[in-house]
Amino acid sequence: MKTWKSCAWLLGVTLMVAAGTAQAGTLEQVKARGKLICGTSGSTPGFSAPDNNGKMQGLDADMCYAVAAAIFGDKGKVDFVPLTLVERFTALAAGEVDVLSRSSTNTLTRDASLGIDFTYNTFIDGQGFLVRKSLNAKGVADLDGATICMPSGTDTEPNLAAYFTKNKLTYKPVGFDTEPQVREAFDAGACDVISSDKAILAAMRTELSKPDEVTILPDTISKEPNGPWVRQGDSEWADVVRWSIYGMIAADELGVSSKNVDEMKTQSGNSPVLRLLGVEGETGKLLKVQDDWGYQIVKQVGNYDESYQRNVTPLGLPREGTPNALWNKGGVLLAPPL
Amino acid sequence: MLIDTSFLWSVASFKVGFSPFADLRLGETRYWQVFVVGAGNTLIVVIAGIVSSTLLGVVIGVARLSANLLARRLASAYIETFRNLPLLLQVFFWHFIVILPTLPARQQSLVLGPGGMLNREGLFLSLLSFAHPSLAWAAVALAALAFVVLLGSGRAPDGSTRHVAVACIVSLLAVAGLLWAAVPSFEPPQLARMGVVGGFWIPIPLMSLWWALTVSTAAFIAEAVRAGIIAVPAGQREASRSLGFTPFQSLKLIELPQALRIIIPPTISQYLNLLKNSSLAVAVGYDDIVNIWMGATLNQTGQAIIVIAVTMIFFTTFSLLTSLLMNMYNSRMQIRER
Repeated sequence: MKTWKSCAWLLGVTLMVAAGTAQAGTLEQVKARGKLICGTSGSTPGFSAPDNNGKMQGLDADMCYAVAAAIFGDKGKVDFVPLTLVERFTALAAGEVDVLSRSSTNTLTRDASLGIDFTYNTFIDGQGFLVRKSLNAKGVADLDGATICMPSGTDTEPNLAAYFTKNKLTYKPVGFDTEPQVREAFDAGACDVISSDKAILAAMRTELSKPDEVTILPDTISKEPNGPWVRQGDSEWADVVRWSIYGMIAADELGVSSKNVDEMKTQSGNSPVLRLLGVEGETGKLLKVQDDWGYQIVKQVGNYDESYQRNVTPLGLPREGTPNALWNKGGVLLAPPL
Repeated sequence: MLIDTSFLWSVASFKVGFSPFADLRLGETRYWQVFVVGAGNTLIVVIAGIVSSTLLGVVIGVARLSANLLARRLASAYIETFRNLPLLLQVFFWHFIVILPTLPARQQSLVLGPGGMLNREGLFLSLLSFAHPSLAWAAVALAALAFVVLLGSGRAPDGSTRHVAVACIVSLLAVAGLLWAAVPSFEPPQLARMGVVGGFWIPIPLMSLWWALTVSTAAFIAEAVRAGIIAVPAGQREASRSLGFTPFQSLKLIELPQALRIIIPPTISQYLNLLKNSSLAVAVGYDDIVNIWMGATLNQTGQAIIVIAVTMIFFTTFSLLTSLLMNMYNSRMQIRER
């Protein structure tokens, strides 16, 4: 009797596991669920942080809104899941989220070993240092021997180790799970320096208790191409996410914004614009999303420049002259032809 | 997902902040060493926490039953506060609200004479060195010998008390003389531009975590102690008092030895909880096994399955080891039927 019972339990558990693994493609799942589940930081102003109404705002959040707009024609159909730095990739690989949009750098180790795939650059950053003005540090060379707070489980740690070794400098690292903990530790005086991506530093600075007493050093010690990640082995889904981003960048390049999109749809007569907005060609059918996916993205979320100006520029990070400008304006952001 | 143990022998790409008993150099540390240091750091805080929470717990538990109203009320307030608040909240409270703000910034470090200095980055103890190390070792050996001998003569008949006192004074003088003859010298830590150079570093996160674990676990142990004392039949206390024992003697010689049999089993669980709760280290930036092994190493190598499995084995092994030791102690304390 006992054996029978355990056998039944075993069978039940196996069935559940099997049901979990033999799942449909992510796109079908998302459509069936009627909602996109998007992993973000949820505590990084400018990239993903709730506004006063509790609505997630930021460049990373906009990427998820764009994917939802492309699939459902309604950018509101997103559930945001806040993830810490340590749990983010595991959460994505384990299927807890459909897409991870959390200022995560594209690296070989991650791409090749974590069971996840990078989609496309949405923000190109570099690692910098936020220091108290009272230290009188002019550059990284002045930071010899400093205690440095940083987010743990990120690219920041190896970059810092490599740079300090190369320049024969020493430091004491203090690692934390999330950015707010790093900020709190710095505010409480546990360290005089924070190292992270410069945009994250700019975002943290806005939330410090005394933002006037700190400065961000001019040095940049690494390159950090950030963008959304998806699970490995589902290229149909990766295409949807990647082309949603391309759509925002293409709209920026073609001069289509949320303000003039209706006008452009009827009057532009420009074939690339019409293909993007779903008037010509059947790009939506090919991607298995809304026929007018490009129109929905631009209308509801805006083009890349609108999102950047709305979210990142207020942090004190202008777009001009940075790698985040379009390819034809000296940057590296480029959308392939539609 | 990759499963490959060879990463254990490759060089870690990041720096470990706190490695008290190993000199981990950047660019030479292997991942298995990161594990060993992380595990060691966890054990440091756990062992320190077990000792201190037991002492504090016994004091609070006895105070809870004290005839003194104030002591009784204070002890219950303590227990009800620290038993009912989430531990993470307590860790944050002690670290960010109490400990860090009360400590001075590095520039205003508190100098503890020749002992070292204290600031928000940690306690820096002077390094002690001897001109004649062999004499110092002789002093340590003599002190240990004297300690063992004196402990053994603790239950000597009344007449020998004078001999014990003489032996105690003579051995103390001998140890002090040997230490003096070894010519000790202190190397105090020096305040540098960006940090503290030299000295033995005890980071503030370690102290905050240790304190939070001590305070919280002591509340639970105090309840076990109280339960144990109450369970000793009241006649035992009454009898010892009528035989002329003082309340302290009655507690020490009559009540606690009997109460221990009831106190030990629930206390084992509290020790195990303390071991598991030490993983909150990541909240204050202490380099325990969860922070530098399950966090940083997992994210840098992508070896999720091996890293998590090793972490699970570590916690299970040390939990079982703790229970084994405590159960052995428990069976020694059991009433033996004759």
